Amino acid sequence: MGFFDINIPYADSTPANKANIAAKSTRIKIVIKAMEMGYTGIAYNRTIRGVMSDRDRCSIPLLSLSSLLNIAPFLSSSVNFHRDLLGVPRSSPFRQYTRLTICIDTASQSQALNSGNPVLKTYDIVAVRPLNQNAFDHACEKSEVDIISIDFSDKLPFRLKLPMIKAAIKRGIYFEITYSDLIVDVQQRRQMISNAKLLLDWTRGKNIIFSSAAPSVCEVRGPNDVANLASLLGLSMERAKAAISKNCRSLLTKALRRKHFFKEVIRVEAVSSSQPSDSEAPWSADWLKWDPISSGEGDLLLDDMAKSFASNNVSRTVKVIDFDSIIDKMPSHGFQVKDMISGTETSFRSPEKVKSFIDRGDASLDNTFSKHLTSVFGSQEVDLASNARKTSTGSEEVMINTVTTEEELESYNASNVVFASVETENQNHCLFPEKHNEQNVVVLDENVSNCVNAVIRNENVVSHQTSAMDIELGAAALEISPPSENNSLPPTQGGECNSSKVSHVDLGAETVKVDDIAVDMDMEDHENAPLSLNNMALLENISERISLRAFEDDAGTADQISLQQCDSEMRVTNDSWVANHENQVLVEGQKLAEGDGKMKDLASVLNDESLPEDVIESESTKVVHNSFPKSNPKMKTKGISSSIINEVREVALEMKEHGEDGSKTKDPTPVQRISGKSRRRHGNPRQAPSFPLRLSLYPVSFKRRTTQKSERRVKMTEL
Amino acid sequence: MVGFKNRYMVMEVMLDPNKEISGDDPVVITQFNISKAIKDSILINFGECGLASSIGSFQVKYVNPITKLCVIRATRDEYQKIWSSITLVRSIGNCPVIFNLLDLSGSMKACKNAALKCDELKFEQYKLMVGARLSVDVAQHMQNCLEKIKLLEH
Repeated sequence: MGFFDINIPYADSTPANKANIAAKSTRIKIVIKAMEMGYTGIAYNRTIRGVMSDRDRCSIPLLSLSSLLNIAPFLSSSVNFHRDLLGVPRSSPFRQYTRLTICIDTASQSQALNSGNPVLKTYDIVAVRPLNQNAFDHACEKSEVDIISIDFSDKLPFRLKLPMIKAAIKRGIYFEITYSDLIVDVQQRRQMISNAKLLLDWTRGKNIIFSSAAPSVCEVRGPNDVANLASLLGLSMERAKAAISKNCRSLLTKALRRKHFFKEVIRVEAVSSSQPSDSEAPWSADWLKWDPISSGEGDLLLDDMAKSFASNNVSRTVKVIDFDSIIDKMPSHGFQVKDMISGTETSFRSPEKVKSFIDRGDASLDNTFSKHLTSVFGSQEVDLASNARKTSTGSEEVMINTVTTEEELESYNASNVVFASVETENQNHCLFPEKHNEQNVVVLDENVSNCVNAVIRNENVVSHQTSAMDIELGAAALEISPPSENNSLPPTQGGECNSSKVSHVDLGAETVKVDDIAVDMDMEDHENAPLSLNNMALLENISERISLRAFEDDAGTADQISLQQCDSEMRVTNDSWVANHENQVLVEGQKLAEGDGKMKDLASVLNDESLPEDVIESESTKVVHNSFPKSNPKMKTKGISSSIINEVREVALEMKEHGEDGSKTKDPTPVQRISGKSRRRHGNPRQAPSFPLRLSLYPVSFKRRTTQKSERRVKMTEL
Repeated sequence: MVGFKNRYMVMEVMLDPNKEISGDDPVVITQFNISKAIKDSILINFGECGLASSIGSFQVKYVNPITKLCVIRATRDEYQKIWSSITLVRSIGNCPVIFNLLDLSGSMKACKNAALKCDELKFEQYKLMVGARLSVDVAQHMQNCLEKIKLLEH
């Protein structure tokens, strides 16, 4: 669990005079000191008073690793030393957030603090500092803020009332206590302790966060020391430690969800053109790697310090589109791709950095994909997001896909499977994450029955184990689009195969092994990818194999038949993205039922096929996220088509927890190496979990697992 | 069985965080000046009684001026107060400092192990920073300090 310091003062430094330069260097020094002491995240706090104007939009420049290293060249050794002592994983990224604190006097100013305020949206965290009783009451009860920050160093201008505090806690607002007041001045110390004690007694440490608000670098203290200071104020050590780690983390999750998700549900992400192609892994895989408290470009990966200056090493961030503004521009008569492209052209910026946790070991691949993503995808996303909530998304999405991925379609039609270029893979691949992300979000909230949603719900499916969903997933997953391995999956399940899939899906009920499956899938996926890409004939094989696969699960022939039926249907739709997810879910279910032995069949099947080296390479990059678990040996035994493997991999990618340890895999192929590398780069399993709901989504049955799997599961449930 | 229950804190002293990283030390830390700074802090924050109840078992057992590591013993009943006071120390002499706790243990044995490990790691960092300027004296001094740790007693 990482430690956060949510309040590092930032002075607006537009006039470049001496004071501002000093302020800038102070800020950098504070950041360096915080990083050195083992903090994993900080937030730059800008304070404004009263009314906000448009000029107040967030303009806080995030510091880059190079600027930090310029001042403290030996930062990494110190950071590692402290992190080891604190128990923080070495490779967890150092995050930077932006925060705004608004000092509120009057009721009219309080009214401005709602979710519709565009200025507030530009900051990651929003805090309010009430200056009188009315403002405090309003803040506790009605304002849409994340933090209520009270200045305890002077006599409080208002009274803290228990019902107000209770109301605020109920709404999920955090109270902030800044500890630098204790350090700076003796008089302030006195006031601060007496004021804060009351708050702490009433809240008992719940929804309390400690932060520094350090005016200079001498006021920053290490996490353990801060916890001890908190216990001085009356908290138990456990609560105190939580106040600087767990509470901060949940605050950040909440704040980022508010910022990035439309109506708390849909996340629109712009896929950058420089994103390395995960053509192998569908966007669902990206979603698996989704870091709920990622600060986008602010994430600094520390274990790549040596490479931080290399051009290859770009941390990949997913740009989040300002959904609201785009929605406003959308034509009322419906989705028009052209409109979206032009409309979002300006708002879309292909980020130069890539998501840090999807960092690819293979830097060369990063460049290949740069040209492929266009704003089309961005616009697509927007539209998808808006549609996501509708229940008819399935068909729409497919349609959208077909419309927008014309190139893919062409290639698809021509070869019907073959992807000669990595590019196309990438393109399609890029497409998926967008949808996937949105879909995932949507699915979580709505019970949409369409395939697309099903895809998103990979995780949910497992937990809920609704057969219908699974079927849909299978169908969607199998819809092959030209890109990447999806093609190999084509057959499988079209939406129509639902009924037959039910039984099959029940296997999926054993969500338990999601991670295992994921691991397996990764392996399979990886291996499948090259196959699918190059081998048109695979399509047929795939369908057969998928059916074979279905059998494995003791689901009976019905599945097989359904699979075959689905195959034909799958081809029609171009929704490879869905297919990927579906397949993965399916595969998961299958795998669960089958056990390890079956996977081996897959592996063997895969091995039989010739895998072009370059494809493997490209695939390997995609597979990065996931460790290739022991699935390899398992796969060998199964005679499942590579497509299935792809599915599996996809599912695995999706389902796979971010922190899965790649080292467990015994994948002999280069993929494993790469994936292991990348995996380690992302953050290890011991890191704060990417999926806060994972425990509830995947009820783990501890029955039939090999030690390896149980290890993995333990890691998964380590939340 | 054991009469005195103590807590041993391994702390690192960060001297003058404002200045550039690899300059010379503005003040050499010794057992005496650290102890004085902490006692002053206890007096300010916890008063005469606080100081009196803490001072019984309070001792700075070991200081390494090269790696800025120190080991402080405090009685188990008052260690949190003493720890808070240490955190609130702002300066030693006229040099601003930051104390950072690295390890807290209840026995001298565990403390010795932790201190040895931390010291060695910090020395590696020191060597990195100093680079080629590492003199034999410093290395020798370092060895002496490590020996001292091994000879620490409660």
